[in-house]
Amino acid sequence: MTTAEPPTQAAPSRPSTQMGALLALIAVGVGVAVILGLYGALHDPTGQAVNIGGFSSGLYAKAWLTTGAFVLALVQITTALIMFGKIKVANQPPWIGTLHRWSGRIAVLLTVPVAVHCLYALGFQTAQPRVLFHSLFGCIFYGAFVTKMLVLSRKGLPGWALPVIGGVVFTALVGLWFSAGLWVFTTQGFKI
Amino acid sequence: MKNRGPILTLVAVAVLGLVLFLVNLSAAPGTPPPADAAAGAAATTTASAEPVAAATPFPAQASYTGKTEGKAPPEAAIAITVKGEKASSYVCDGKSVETWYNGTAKDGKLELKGKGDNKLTGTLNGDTITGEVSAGGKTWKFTAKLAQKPAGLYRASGGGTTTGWIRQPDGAVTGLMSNGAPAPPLDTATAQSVEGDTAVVN
Repeated sequence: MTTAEPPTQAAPSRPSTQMGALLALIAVGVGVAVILGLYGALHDPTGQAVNIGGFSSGLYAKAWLTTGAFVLALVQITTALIMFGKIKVANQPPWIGTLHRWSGRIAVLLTVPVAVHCLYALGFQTAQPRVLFHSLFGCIFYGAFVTKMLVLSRKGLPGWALPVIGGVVFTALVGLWFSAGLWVFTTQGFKI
Repeated sequence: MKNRGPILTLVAVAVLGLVLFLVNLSAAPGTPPPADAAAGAAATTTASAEPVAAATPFPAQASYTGKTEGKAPPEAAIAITVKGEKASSYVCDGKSVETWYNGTAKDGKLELKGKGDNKLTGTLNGDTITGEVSAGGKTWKFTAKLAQKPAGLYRASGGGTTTGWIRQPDGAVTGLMSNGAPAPPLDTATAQSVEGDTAVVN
């Protein structure tokens, strides 16, 4: 999915081609979301998967990893607002960009084991509203993430593209956490 | 000038996902779940609809009866019988939906198929099977509990139609004929008692 993009043009492109490029990147993200959803819906969930040690159960491992990603997502939205000047900070520290990039990388890497377990062991499910929304958010999150990474790596796209897609990524992650991580803690007890 | 950082991030995520996925695939066949996985699964089963493993091996021969969950269409009765590693099942709402299933019961896991795309999967936990069943283009969660005769699954064929009956432990009977007509009253003396190895999908 990362090799499908043509090399960036050095010359500034016309608005219509910019929009076309943006739409193409969005299409790649939508494709990723749909493929994840189809895989989750069509394969037979195994009901079990390899687990991460150190937690009382696989369920809590997932809940805590998602919670870690959620906290880092709050860092993400805060640093993004600072970088875009929406939160005024006197003498904006030069490391804000680095903090934004690395908190984002760690956040998304934390979600990967959770997502693999969800997709492999449980699949795309629709039986309850919570589970349906969680499945949808999961697909949207990775699709939007792919689009955002691709948008970041291209110059000359409309300025609103990055905040909007970043907002989608953030919203999906918050939705994921509310529909599963927080749900585990509130219904089954708050523990490691 | 191209910004390589995001692409590297993308690749890192894809590689990590793929590696974890392959670890799962290679560990999957026949490997018993680690203890913590089973514990997590049990916690999930009690409070959510996610089908997860906490399997009890099946007895040599047993019947389970229960109901599907959910609102549409109104709940249907389900009966599952197991004999050795074979299983038969019938789902019936007594009005319009009825499907027969045959398949396997191994290591506490049910894998049954009915006509068309209809299928039934379930996991035994103690005396209770929980799982999912599809019939008539819809999928339901279900719960079925160990039942003693005369509760169980019954069947009669004749005149080109098949009739199925599910008798619950409280005596309630749900039945339907394969042509959609209401089932006659169940006579457990004349109807065939369906066991796990009875071929019921035709």
